[in-house]
Formats: sequence, C-alpha cells, structure tokens
Amino acid sequence: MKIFACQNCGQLVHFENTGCMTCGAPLGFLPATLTLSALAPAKNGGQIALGGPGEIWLACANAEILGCNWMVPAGDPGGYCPSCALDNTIPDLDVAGNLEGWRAIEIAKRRLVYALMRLNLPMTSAAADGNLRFDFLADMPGADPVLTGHDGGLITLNIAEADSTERERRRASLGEPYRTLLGHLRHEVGHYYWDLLVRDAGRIGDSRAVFGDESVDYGAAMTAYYENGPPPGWQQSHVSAYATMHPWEDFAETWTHYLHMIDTLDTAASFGMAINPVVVDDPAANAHVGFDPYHAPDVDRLVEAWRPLTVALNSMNRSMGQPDLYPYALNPPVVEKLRFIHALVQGS
Amino acid sequence: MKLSICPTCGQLLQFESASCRRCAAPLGFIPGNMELSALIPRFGGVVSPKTRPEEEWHTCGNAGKAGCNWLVPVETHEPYCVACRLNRNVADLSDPAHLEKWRAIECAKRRLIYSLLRLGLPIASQTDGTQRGLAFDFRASTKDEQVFTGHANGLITINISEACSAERERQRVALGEPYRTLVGHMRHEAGHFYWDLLVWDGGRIGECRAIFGDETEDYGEALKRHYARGPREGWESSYVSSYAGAHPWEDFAETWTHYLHIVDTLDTAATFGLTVDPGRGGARAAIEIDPYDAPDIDSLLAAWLPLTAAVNALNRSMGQPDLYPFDLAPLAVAKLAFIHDLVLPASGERAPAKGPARAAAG
Repeated sequence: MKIFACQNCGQLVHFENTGCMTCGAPLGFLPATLTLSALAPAKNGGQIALGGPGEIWLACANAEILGCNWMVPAGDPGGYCPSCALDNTIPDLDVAGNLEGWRAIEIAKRRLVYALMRLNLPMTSAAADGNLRFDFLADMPGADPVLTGHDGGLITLNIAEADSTERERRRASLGEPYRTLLGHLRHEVGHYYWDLLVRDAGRIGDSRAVFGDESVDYGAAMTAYYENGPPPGWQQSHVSAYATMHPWEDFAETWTHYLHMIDTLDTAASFGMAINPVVVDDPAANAHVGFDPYHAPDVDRLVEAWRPLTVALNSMNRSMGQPDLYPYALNPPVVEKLRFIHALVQGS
Repeated sequence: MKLSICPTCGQLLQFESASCRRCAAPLGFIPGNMELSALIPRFGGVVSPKTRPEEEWHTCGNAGKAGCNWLVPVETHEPYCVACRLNRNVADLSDPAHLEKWRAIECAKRRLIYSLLRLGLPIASQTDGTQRGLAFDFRASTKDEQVFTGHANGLITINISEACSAERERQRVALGEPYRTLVGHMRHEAGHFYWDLLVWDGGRIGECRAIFGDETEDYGEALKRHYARGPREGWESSYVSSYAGAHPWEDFAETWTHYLHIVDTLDTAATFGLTVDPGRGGARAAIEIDPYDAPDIDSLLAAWLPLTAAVNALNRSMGQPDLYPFDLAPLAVAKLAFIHDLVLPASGERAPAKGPARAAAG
C-alpha cells in the first residue's frame, strides 16, 4: 500500500483517511489512478481532486453510511465505487452491531480491491456467474450457520468475523497463528482466481504439479482434516496447516501469502524502510525494497526482502506486547508455490 | 530489546527461545550481560555459555513448567532466576488452562524485568525479605473472590484471565481501549511501584504533583467517577490514554508504560538497524542513540513518531492492529520527559527507600 501526501499541506495521509489529520482537507480515493487526493468543492455537489487534471468526482453512494472514501466519476451520480459495487448482499442494518461489522469488513475489502486493481486482475468473467461479488451474512436463529467461503465468484463472509473478540476466540480454538478480516478476503478471492487463472486458462496441469491433484474429493478431505489435523512435518511443504487440507486450500493459502507479502513490502517501500542488523554480518539479514513489489521481477526478490523485514517487525511487535506481524516461516517448497502464483498473477 | 545470534550457526535468536530454531543448540538468558547465549551442558543442571566456557550457571527452577529460559549464577544457591524469584502466589497449576496462562504471563514479565535491568532500576524481591521490594501474585477469580489486577506496596497482582487473548480482547472492546496486552499490564503496574520508589521515597513529590496533578485526591472516588462518567472530555490533549485521566497515579503509571514501550521498541528497531525515509514530507527515522540511555525525551520521539507511523501502516497491510495506536500531545510529552529524568537521573544517584507510601492502585 502506498502512502500518500496531502496536496493541500504536504503531510502524509493514509489509505483509510477521509480527511487530512494535519490540515483537515477532505480526502477521497481515486480508483482510476489508485491515489488518495485532497478534494475541493465544485459545482453540483461534486469535488475536484487537488493535484489532478481537474475532473469532477462524486462520493461513493456508501460514503455516508459506511465512511467509504472512494470516489466515482461525475457522470455516475448515486453510483457505487469499484469496491462497494461488488456487494451482492449486506446484513440487516437494523440489527445492532451489523453496521459496525459491515464497516470493518468494507475497510478490509477496499484493501483487497486496491491490490487486485494494482495487479490488473479481472473481476468479471464470461463464464456463467463468473463475476466477483460478495455476500456479507449474519447467522440467523434456527438457520444453519453462515459458512465463509467461495462459489463461482460469490464470496460469502459471516459478519461474526468482524467482531474482534469472536475472531480471536475462533483463532485460539482452531490453533491458528493468524486470523484477520483482510486474511479472509485475500484467501477467498484466491479461490476465485484459481477458477479464472488456472481452470479457465487451461493451467490445471501446471497447478496440479505444484499443489497436488485437486480432483480428490473436497468434502472427504475436509472431514479428514478436521478429524486428524495436519500431517506431521507439514511446515516443510505448506504455508499453513489449513493449506494441507486440499490442493484448492493450498492454492488459496499461498495466494493469500503472496498478497500479504507484496502489499506489506509495498508499504515498506513507500516508507523507505531499510533493515541492517548491527550484530549480523550476513547480507541475507538486510532488507531494502528497491523495486515495485506489485510488479517484482521474480519471487526471490520478494522473499529476500520479506524474510528479514518480517523478523524485524515481529520483534518490534513483541516489544509492544503485540502478536507477530507475520507468524509464519517460508520454507523452500512454499517459495516454489509462491513462484507459481507470481507467474500466474504477473501473466507470464 | 537487543538481539543475539547463535554462536554455533549464526541464526538470529528470539528472546523467548530455549533452543536455536536452526541448529537446536540449548539457549539461556544471562541476566548479567543481558544476552541470550548458546549453552554447553555440564552436570546436574549446570551450564556454561559457549562464548565464556569458564562461567557456571544453572537453569531456573521454572525452566520446565514455565518455560523460563533465564539462568541463575551457581554461587548464589538460588533456585530461581531474578524474574521468577519475585513470584509470591501463582494460581493452581494442576489446572492445565492455568499453566498455559501462567507461561504467557511469565513471558511478559521477563520482558518487563529485562527493561528494568537495562535501566538499572532496583528490583529487590519481597520474598527475600526486602520490605521495599517487588512481588507478584498471578491468581484466578473464584466464586467467592474476584481478583483485581493492580498494585499495592510493591505487590503486583494480575488476574490470569488476562492471559486468555479472547477474554483480553473482549475487555479491550468493552472498555473502548485501543490497546490491551500482558506486557502493557506489567509495565503499567510496575509504574505504580516505581512511583513509590522514585517519586515518594525519592522526595520528588512536589515536582511530580506539578506535572501529573494532586495525587492526594481520593483514589477510590476518582476511579468510580472514571467508570461511571467515562473519560474526561478533551483527555487527548493532555494524557497518553483516557485511563490516565482517572487519577494522577494512573496518569503516572500510564505515562511510565509508554516510556517503556518507546524505549524497548526503539531498542529493537536499533538492533535491527531499522530506518525509515518516506520522502514527500515524511519524517526520517534512524536511531543513533542507545534508547535505554537516551540523552533526552526529544531524541527518543524524533525516532519514535516516524517509526510508529511506518510500522502501523505495515501492520495494516497484514490486516493486523496498529503497533502503537496512540497520539502523543505536547502535554503528554512533558510528562514523558519527567519520567525520563526520573529513570535516568543526570547524577546517576537515587535517594534511598523511605517506607510505605500509600494504598493500592489498579
């Protein structure tokens, strides 16, 4: 994620900001250029992006209710931004807590959509029901619980996951090192891109060689995983325990880590962050992101920067008593899986 | 927090580790030189640091069940390390859930003690008979008794339910706090103890009052008011947190906590040689001081503010909460400056202990 500078006062502003923390100028995110811009009022309720060529923008139709800070072109009054436009079902906002949960989910979703746009990934497909869309659903009394998952472009997320206490309870009871809204969205969209970039692109054979045979029964694999847990030594070959459940999950988990890595490295690059541990005389312990992580030349460059960066940031989070930023290790077979995702995403 | 590297294989070592992740060498933390060392096992639990084989240490009596990786000098005939020796009451460990929580609490406590040792602060144990010492109770609430986390005359009590991350998150949300961790609790409660030692015994009550306000205000009433009416309006412009506005003692303990947050996290950044240089109006940060022995508060904050802006943004890229979800108003910085002068007095001398100062604080 890039950091941005307020065109009005020059201070740093962040992706989520709706106003500059220094000068108070209103801010809006321009999906066309993927930039956050200070805004000045224009005719008919429109806004001019400062520093832009002078087009008029309107707030997303969800600006008021959600605090969405993305903008839509002046020719689309009442329209939704490219992130909010993907919503198929939202929870009943008359139920206490649902609005807060939905807001938290949309903040994470805008980060996801930002990444997909930076990568120029398609969000529509000619296949039946092949457009990316979202159902955010709440459990209802007497009904089956809402299962988070993906099916034919439709991503379902149980909004209970937006409650940080409930999420932490689930994380601890499942023995996961990491569970976040952004992680859920990155994971589920990985299933969508398996459909688009692997299945529909005729690359099932290549994918099978890397992740294993996905034609094995998914339901049986899931039952076996929840009964027996991951196989011993899974850390050598899989990025997470859940990735061992089925080749589709392995793909989606590895995909998630690819997005974790490139977006977090992009933030580090944007801040000009460098690591050079004083006690270690090994260049592999140093990190400086001197390339565009969203369009890295190869996965090795990403991993070479990612490893020392995450070791340092995990330690800093521990100094504050917080959980590790990235509680995982990338072993060589996992790097090979990331290499496959990298080639797929970069279209090579 | 300084980093160590494994002398056998060169792997960077984590403070909590009891063995090297790469080469499996046994590790122990030596409170003397504040270093995690690879060990040579000798006989009967005695070990020597690989880099100084002539020294003899033994593992802490809590090495097994608490996973403590600190070492004890053989000649002291003490069963426990300098951190574990401070324990008074520990919850019933025959309950496996208690054991797991206790291990997490001890990890956080070792981080606290590490900082206190680095700062050269006195940490005598009440269990050795030192009246003006520290002691810890880690207890579980029962049907008949609710355990409150707090401090009284050197005794720090932690309700072990705080070690359950889901319960801690529930409390954080219910209290509207941006941050709640075990390390934060430890640093906060220790802040009350060092108020007794460095402000009361140190004869600096007048100066402290001028900065934090009159602590003779009824503490129980002040807390009741805080919980009934919520934070005082405009607290952001003079306090590090809303809880700091409850009473001058809490203001001191909260500010103390932030001082330890800043010093230890900057020390980690310094060890990793971490620098930020965002360009375009963003401030640079490179840590060219020893954060545990900084010349002044401004030198710490000159690095802290740009560094936390960057790391908060990196945490968000992973979907994680901010590293440091706080803003420091100028008045809060003046309070941090007082803590800095208290912890690192220019003369290097501290006044001797006087005696019990006051009642309990939460």
